[in-house]
Amino acid sequence: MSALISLQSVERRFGSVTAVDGVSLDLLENEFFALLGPSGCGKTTLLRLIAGFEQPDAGRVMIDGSDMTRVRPRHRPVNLMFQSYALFPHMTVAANVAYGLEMERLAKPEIKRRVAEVLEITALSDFANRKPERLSGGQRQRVALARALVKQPKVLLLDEPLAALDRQLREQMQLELKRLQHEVGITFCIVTHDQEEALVMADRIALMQAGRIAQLGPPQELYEAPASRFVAGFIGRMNFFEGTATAEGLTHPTLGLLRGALPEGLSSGQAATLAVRPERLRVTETANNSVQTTLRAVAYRGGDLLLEVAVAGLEDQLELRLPITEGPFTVEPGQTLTIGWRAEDSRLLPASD
Amino acid sequence: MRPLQLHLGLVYFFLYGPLILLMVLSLNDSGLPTSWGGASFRWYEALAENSAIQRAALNSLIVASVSTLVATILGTLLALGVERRRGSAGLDALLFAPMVIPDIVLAIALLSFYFLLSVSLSLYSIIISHIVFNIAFACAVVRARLKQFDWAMLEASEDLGAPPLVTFFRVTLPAILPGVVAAALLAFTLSIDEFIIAFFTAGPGQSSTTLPMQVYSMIRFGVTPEINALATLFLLTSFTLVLMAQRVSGRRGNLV
Repeated sequence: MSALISLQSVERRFGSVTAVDGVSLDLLENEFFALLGPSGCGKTTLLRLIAGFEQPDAGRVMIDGSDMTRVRPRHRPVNLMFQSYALFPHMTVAANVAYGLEMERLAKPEIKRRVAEVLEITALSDFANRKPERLSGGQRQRVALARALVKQPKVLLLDEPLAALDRQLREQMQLELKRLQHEVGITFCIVTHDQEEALVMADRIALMQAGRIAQLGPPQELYEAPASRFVAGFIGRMNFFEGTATAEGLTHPTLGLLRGALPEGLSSGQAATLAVRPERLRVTETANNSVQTTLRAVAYRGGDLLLEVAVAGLEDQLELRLPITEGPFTVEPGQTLTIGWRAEDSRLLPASD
Repeated sequence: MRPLQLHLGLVYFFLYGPLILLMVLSLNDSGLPTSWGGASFRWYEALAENSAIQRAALNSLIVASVSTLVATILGTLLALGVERRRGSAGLDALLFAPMVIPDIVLAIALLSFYFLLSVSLSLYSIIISHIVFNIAFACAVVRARLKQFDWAMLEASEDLGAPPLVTFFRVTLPAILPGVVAAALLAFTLSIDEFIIAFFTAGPGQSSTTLPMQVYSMIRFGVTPEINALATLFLLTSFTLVLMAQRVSGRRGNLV
């Protein structure tokens, strides 16, 4: 597959702050891509660099094979859906959607046909003659989406598209956006600070940290094989043990040896972190790693039990998720539990990023 | 409740009593404030035959229209610039200054300024003076409207393929139009009956006498029934304008 958009060592500084610090990135055809990261990591700036609202201080922005680094936003074959939606309040839904096509000076019948088409796939046909002020939040979001989609961009850029919606609607729209992307076959590039959202929707995720890409890959890869402690901590929940790397794993100052595979780039004797997901921990004595713990709290969450256990000599408590199907569990806060996990379910990482 | 209602009644009596009296007297055939001689429109007829008043009214209309047009355009552009760039508090204070400094000070300042630049005084100098204070009012009204303006709309318009001018006429202006209309109505109302600044910066003779100046010169020989008729017309016009301004900003007030 060829790259639709190719960022080459792109840099953007605001005064003394480097918002985007030499990022190289390819967006492929027909993929759902997510730029993920904490606020201030440069993900929105990166999106605006692609849209053309920011000019890089160094590097190039290639779109569909041609250098568009200095091209105005209105001449780029990409469209941006704004976080505030930025709908035109004095125009009806249909007029909002038609606006971009009128700018292309298309014939009236063609505009009408394409507007009707896109209103149909975004389930807005019944609201074509309403003004934005008379729409719900979810409907407004779909108008913004339709207005950008109708231009048939090479890439649709979405800046925190679900941030303004309430939780239930957000979860529903995550799947809706994914279905829509599949249906129209346009590459979507979404900016989000919500790791769950990125995991649910994206084919590939670029997790950003301080203007750089910390890790880029499919959701499973970021979740199962985080490349750094930052990635491990940002995506999902994680338990950490700090110690020293050895050939067999990690030597913990109080717990002794915790087995794990020594990754490339980490050598024996270096400070290291062993990371284990809550759902990989079990109440068992037969695993090749185990620790004695005291149960602090139990939370029943429907599908699973969330356990918080304290380990002697460990500052942070461990988090443990037990599927209800493996129960029934009879656990009481205060009781002692032996917690174990398989060595291959843990990741050994450099202690600092 | 009773004392409060009495208070309210007194307020309205003092506000509107004289105005109603004026309107009634303008219809008084006898022309004397002390005796009712039956209703007639004879003072309105006399008004229609008074060429000096008509000339002054025309001058006032010219001053108000031109200064409203220019000040609304400049004030709107100024408001857009200032709101977008988020200027300093000092700049804000400078923008509000023409609204709060006493008219007499502004009048004297403008007069000395014209004298310094050797601008000969005429109807044009009144127009320029009125533009000066009207820009400040127009700008303030439009800025209030812009507080709820989503600037991302401009980027959205560009993203959808619109050049800057198209964005201005199809997105920015329609979105703030209620504010612009309100600004224009306010500017017109302020200009049409402005006296002090016009009096100081007017040229000699009838050619640059505005309506308030004409009324002032007539009233020195006593209030004539003609002036009652004129004032009544004035009152009705400004009332209509104010109602229109409220309708416009009320009806579309929650748009942006």
